Parts: sequence; structure tokens; C-alpha cells
Amino acid sequence: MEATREIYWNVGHGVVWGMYLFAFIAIGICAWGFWTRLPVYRQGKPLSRLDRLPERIALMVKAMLAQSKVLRVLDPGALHALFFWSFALLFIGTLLIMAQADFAAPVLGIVFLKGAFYKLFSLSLDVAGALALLMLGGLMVRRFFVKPEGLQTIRDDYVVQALLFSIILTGFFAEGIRMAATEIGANPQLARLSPVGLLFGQMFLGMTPAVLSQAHKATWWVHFFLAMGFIAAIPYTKLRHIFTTSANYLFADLGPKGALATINLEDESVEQFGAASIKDLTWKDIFDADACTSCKRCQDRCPAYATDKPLSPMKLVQKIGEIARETPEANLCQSIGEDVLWSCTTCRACQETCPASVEHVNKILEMRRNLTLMEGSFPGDEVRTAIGNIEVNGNPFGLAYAARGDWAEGLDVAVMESGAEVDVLYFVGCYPSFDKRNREIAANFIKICNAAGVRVGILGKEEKCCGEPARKLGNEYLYQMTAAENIELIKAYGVKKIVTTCPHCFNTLARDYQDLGLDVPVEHYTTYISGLMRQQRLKLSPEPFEFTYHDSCYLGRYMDIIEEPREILKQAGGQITEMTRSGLESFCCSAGGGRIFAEEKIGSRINVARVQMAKETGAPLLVSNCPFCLTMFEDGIKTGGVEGEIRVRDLAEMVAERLAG
Amino acid sequence: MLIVVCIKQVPDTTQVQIDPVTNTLVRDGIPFIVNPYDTHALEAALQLKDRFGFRVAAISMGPPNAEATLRKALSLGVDKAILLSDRVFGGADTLATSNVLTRAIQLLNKQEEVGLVLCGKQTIDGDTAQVGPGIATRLGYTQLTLVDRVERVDSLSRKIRVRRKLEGRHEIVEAPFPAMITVVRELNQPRYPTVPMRLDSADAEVTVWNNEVLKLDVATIGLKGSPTWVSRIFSPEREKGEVVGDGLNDPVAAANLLIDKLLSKDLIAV
Repeated sequence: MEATREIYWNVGHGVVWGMYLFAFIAIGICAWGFWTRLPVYRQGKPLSRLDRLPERIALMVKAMLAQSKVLRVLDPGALHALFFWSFALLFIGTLLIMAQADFAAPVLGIVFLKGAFYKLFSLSLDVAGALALLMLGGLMVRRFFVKPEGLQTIRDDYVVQALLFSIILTGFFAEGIRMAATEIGANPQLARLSPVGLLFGQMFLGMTPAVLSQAHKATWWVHFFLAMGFIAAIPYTKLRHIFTTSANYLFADLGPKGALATINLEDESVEQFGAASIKDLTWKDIFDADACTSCKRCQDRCPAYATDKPLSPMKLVQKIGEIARETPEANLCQSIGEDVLWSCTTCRACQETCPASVEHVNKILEMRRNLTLMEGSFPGDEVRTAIGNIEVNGNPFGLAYAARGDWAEGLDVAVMESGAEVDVLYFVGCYPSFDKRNREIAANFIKICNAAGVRVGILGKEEKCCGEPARKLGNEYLYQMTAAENIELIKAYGVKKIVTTCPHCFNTLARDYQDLGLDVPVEHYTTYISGLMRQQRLKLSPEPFEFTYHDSCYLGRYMDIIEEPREILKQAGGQITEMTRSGLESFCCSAGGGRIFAEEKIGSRINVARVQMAKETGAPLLVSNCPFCLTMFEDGIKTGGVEGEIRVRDLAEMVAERLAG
Repeated sequence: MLIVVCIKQVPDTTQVQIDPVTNTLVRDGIPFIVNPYDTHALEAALQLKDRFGFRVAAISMGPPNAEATLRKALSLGVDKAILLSDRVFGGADTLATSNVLTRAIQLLNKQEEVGLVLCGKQTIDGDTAQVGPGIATRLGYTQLTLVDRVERVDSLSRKIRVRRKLEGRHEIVEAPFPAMITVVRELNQPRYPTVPMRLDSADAEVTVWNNEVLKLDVATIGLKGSPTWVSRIFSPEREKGEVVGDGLNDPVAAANLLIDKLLSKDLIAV
């Protein structure tokens, strides 16, 4: 007997009319649900996210089918991925049945669900169903019994879980009853290729054909209507992420990480800077709320959330969706809360981890822009003072700009003003210029360059703050003001290459300044040193030391420079013990997003938390690569009461102490 | 009704040094700012504008580049800005300065009735605290100095009640318009200019009045009208500070002692 089965057994082929009618209704309800959401998205400003379409499609297919983003966190990503693959297989199986019974056989007279292919079909669908049920069970246990911290369970979660669970279960019941009536006795070999169906079918063995027929009909229709309910429910529950998250992969930001729209301050037709209401955000910002599944991965990694500040990136994104749907006229910043917006350190941990490609940081920055540019508002008077100082003196400390180059006195470094020929321009930045501790880093960097025979120049008193903290606080005006002065200078001196010791200056000069017309290669000193070592221009005499390493957000997550600094430290004789949170998963020092100027008034201290993590490695030394991090950790070691147990040093110091010859 | 705020462009003196040879301030590499006390006077005037709809004019005597200071005032929201600039105004002491500012306010009063004149309590470069009272005297206005709080403004009966911050005490006084008020930093937190206001202020007009407009006797203004002569400016030898308490063994007591000292010297307020 050839392996196959009668499709529409017991219910009869006549059901197709009703079936397709209900299917069309379900699809209609689904489409209507999405259709009514379009005006919500359309409230936002236009934004082009369909350029480079082939690249976008490839990214979407990979993220969807390979579940690559979901799988970056294995618990519970693996459960989701396995469920997705099995459920997708079941869906394909259903489509094959449809193609066979309703098109191929009646129209073309072709039967392909038979023989070996049917056997494969039967077995794989059975296994897929079992796997889906198992994974769903795991996800249920996690959500309803384990209840991980911060996971919010809403009506949707009950509806979705119940629907999926009952669909698979009724499917197995319908299969089992059919097998009890037609297969288990008649073709036991084939029945074994539906192992789970067989298991269910054995429960019904011995019942009369009439009872089986009735039971089968009932189960079949229940299964069918549940499936239709699933389709109809998609846009009205979290199930919408099947479409919205997939679409968000397509709409993903393909620009460099951290790219922020440069405001044209000269455009006189613009009356609103930053986002004051939902319509000042883009449609994508609103759409993100629908792509978000509240998986809380962002919240788990947010340094502000971890230290009891009012910000949760997940809740912020959800809140934007809520405002767009329910109170679109509301004042955005007030509805979300200024404290929420000022809590962000722009560390990008949320955005890096988000399995739905939601863009959290720029939303916050757009709202901050409204606060600073339109309302003259700041997170505190100390921040306003620092901003005022940058405006007047070009540095946040309010120190005389004429003293900016004083740190370099007696060092072998040229001031560009003198007309000296140099190989690289060292863009020093405010902290290495003025802060006592960080001046040592600047001096050490010069020492390293000298050892490699690199002629270094600085702008000296002509240099201004790069503008990064101001920009991240929303003050685009001040940023563009100081950036324009720096760019004009750098261009005037015909600089060929720029090196910074500050990842914030690095990002700003390398990426943000491009929008304002600077086109000079910029490097962070870690990769620069790494290059000098590779070219054999810089030689180290290793001296052993044990350390743990902190990836600054703007070097690691923003620039993906993870390995080079570790390699340099290794060659310097270092033995690393990694913190749990390192690399792309690193935990902010608290100073990003302009928070370096702000007092941390809410919750506990982020820098203390990070120093604690470093201490837990048992390493006596924490090596960083950023003047802000160094400042915060020096402080965190003191206020955290771990003085004497761990020290913080900059990578430049470790290298400078180990120069060969 | 018009509120006139007198402002001055000053070097950011937190870093000013004195040239030991010439005994003058070294201004090289020092940026100019709006005299910080004046920013509080501006804020006070703008708050009254917000509440009562008064119009606000900022005036400043200084060289042509002092226009930047007036643009700052425009970006904060003043309605007009007048720069009093003429070579013959140069080298003025507080008396000659008061003469110029007084005449300017009188001219403004002809255009629109002046109800209040606001000044910072002093400038951070001259530190005399004389110009405000000097203007009040010449205008015949009531003077309310060292104001740290505006208690009440009655725009109908045209009165203002303020709190003065004096050594170790406060005094609440009231005066009818027109009045001249000098303010201290505790009065308010100056606003930060919004970008639309900044952009507008870049195109706004700063009126320049020279002595052809003010028509003052040159013997009463500038160097000639200044009876004060500075014989010497010098940095005093810094006295070495004292050690307060025993911070190593009893940091709490030491901190308390320090706070008491600072309070008693009026360097901090409760």
C-alpha cells in the first residue's frame, strides 16, 4: 500500500468552501488590524528606510530565518528559535496540504503527498509539532513560573500562549483520532512515522467508528477555528511581531553606529528642533514600539535601570507607542518624564542587544534636543554651568582656553600654530588637556609616539571641546558651534591623520564631523598603537601584570574595537581575567551621554557598580581606554570603598611603561 | 511699561591675571562674558515680562565688540538692545559711566515710560557696586540694592516689594515705580537661550547710540569725566589657609566645623 492519507477524511472535501470563507475572513481581520495601525505610524516624520533594498532583504531573511538576533541570548533565545522553526515547518506543511488537496489534485490531477515524500512529510511535521509543544512549554514555565526579574506579563501573553498551545494540541488530537480510525490498524508501519500522532491515537483505540467520526469532526473544526483565530489575532496581540519585527529588520538603520541626524540650523523654515510631540519623531520611531516584544533584553543591560533610575529602554519604547496611539497631542518629554530622558548614558547596550532592531538612543536624543534647544532645560545646574563653560572657554571646566596646551610643556610635541610638519594630529580633548589625572595619559601617549618616531602635533589653545557631551545632551547648537571651529582649524592645517585618546572625541571626529565637512582619517590611540606594533615601529618589553579590561561604550559597542586593546595589553605582558560583562556586553562607566557633567542624584552609582564587577574578577588592576571611564573609576574606587583592592590605569600608561629600549 | 537692564561685557575674571610690570589686567586669552550678576538682573526682568507683559530693554556701555553681550540679551528675550559706544565714553570710572547710562535711560523714558531699572549688584571686573546707585541718584529713582527675592509686584498700584540680602539678615522693603534695583546671584537661575531665540537674535537690531545721540558734556564722561584714578592693581599675597579640625580621625566633626566657618563668613548659606 502506498504511503499517503486521505485529506479531508471524515470532514469531506465540501468543507473547503466554508474553510476558505473563514480563512478569508480571518486574513481580512488581520489585514484590517494592520491597516488601522498605519495612520498611527504616519503621524511620524518621513524617513527613508528602503534604500539599499537587496542588502536590507538579505539582512531581514537572515535575522528572520536564522533567528540570528534572537539567538544572541541563548536563554530563552534558543527556545524561541526552535519554536519558530518548528512552527514554520507546520505552517509549510499546512500550505502543502492546501496545495495538494485544493489545487494540484483537483485542478492538475497531481498527487505529490505520497510515497517516500509523504513519509518524510509525516515524520517531520510530527517531530516539529512535538518540538513546538515542548518549546512552548519551556517558554510558559519561564514566563509563568520562573518569572524572570522585570518580565512583564500582560493579557497578550495569555492569549498567545493559550492559542498556540491549543492549536498544536488539537492538531495532534485530530491526527490521533484519524489514525485510530484509519491508520493504526490498517497500516501500522506508516503510523510509526507519525510517532506523536500514534501516541494520541492509542488513546482512542477501541472506540466505535461513529464516536471516532464525531470526535474527529469536532476536533478538526476546533483546530481550524483556533488557527483562524490565530491569524485574526496577529495585529491585535504581541503576535504582531511576526510581521512588525520582521519588517523592522528590513527598516534597520544601515548607517554607522551612533549616527544622529545633523540639524540644519540655518534652515529658517524649521521652527521646531528635536521632538516635542509624537509627530516630531519619525514613523520608524513609532513603528519600533510595535516591533518591540517587551523581551526586556535592553532593560537587563541598561546601566540606568540597573542602578534604580527611572529609565527602562523597553518601557520608553512602549510608552512612545502608547502615546502615538492614545494621546498623540501630548507633550512627549513630559509624558515620558525628563528624569527618564536624562538618565540615559547613551551606552547603546539596549540597541546593540535588541533582537527587534529597535533604535532606542536616538529617540532619547531627539527628545533631549527639544529640552535643550527649545526649552533651555538641563538635568541640573551643574550641567548648565559646564555647558556655559564650553560655550565661553571651549572646555567644561571653565578654565582659561589659553591654558589648554599647557600640559604639553616640555614634551616633544609640536603646536600646529608654529607651522611644524607632523605625521599625526593628536586631538587631545578636554579631560586630557585639563584634568590632572588624564594629563598623564596625554603625556604617556606622546611618549609612545616619540618612541615610535611619530611626529605629533596638537592644536594647543586653538582646540575646542569636540562637542560630544553637548550633542548627547541635546545641545546641537553648541556642538555645531565648537565643531565648526575645530573643523576649520584642522582643514586649515592640512592635517592628514588624527589620533585621539578619547573614544568620545574619536566617534565625534570620525563620524559626526563628516556631516559637517571633515574628511580626515581618525583613529583611536588603541588601534593606532596596535598598527605601530604591527609595523614593528613600536616595540615593547613585556613585564607581567594581571588585569581586567573595561570596554568603553564608545570604543567597543560604537566602534566594534574589542580585540586590539586586549592584544596590546597581552603583548605588554598582561594576563587578563574578563568581567562577565565585556566586549559588546560591557557595562557603562556612567559618564556617557553628557552625564560626565551631571551629578548622579537618582538611585545608586553606576561607576561603583562597574568597579564592583571589576573587583569580582580578583584582578588587582582595571585597565580602561577612555578619559571619562578613568575619571569615573578613580571616583568609583574611592566612593565604593575598594581602595587598595583594585586600581585603575589607562592602556597608554601600561604601554608607556613597557617601551623597549 | 519698560524695564531697563544695564549690562556689561567683562572678561571672565576667574582666570584673569595681573601683569606685574604694567599693573593692568592681562586680557590675552581670556574670553568675554556678560557680567554674571547682570545675567540675574536680565532674568529678573524677563520673569517680570513673562508675568506682566512689561517690555525689556538692555543697555550696555562699551566698545563696539560689546554688541555680543547685547546679542546674548536678545537671545534670552529682551525686546530691544542699545549699545552706548563712542570713543569719548572710553576710560570711564563709575561716575562717568553713571552719567552715560542715566542719559540713555532718560532718552528711553521719552520713548516709553520706564518703570524699573535693573542692575547686577556689581561687576566682576570693577567690583565697585557704585554704578547702580549712581544711576538711581541721577535719575531720582528709589534704589533697592542687593535684592535676592522679588516678593510682590503690583502693576496697578505700580509698586514693587523686594527682599534685600544683608549681612546675616534680610530686609523687606517696598518702593513705588520708578525704582532702581541691584540684584545678587541668589535671586534666580538665569535661563538658557533657546535656539529659535538665538537664531532670531543674530538678525535682530542692536541700536548704537554715540554721544551725538546722548549729547553729554564731554567733561562729564569718559576719562575726562572720571575723578577716580587707579594708582595700582596688584595680586595680594595669599594668606595660607588654616587647618580646620582633625579630618583624619574625626571627619564628621571637621566637616561640621568647616561648615560653621563658611557660614560665619557668609560664604555659604543655609
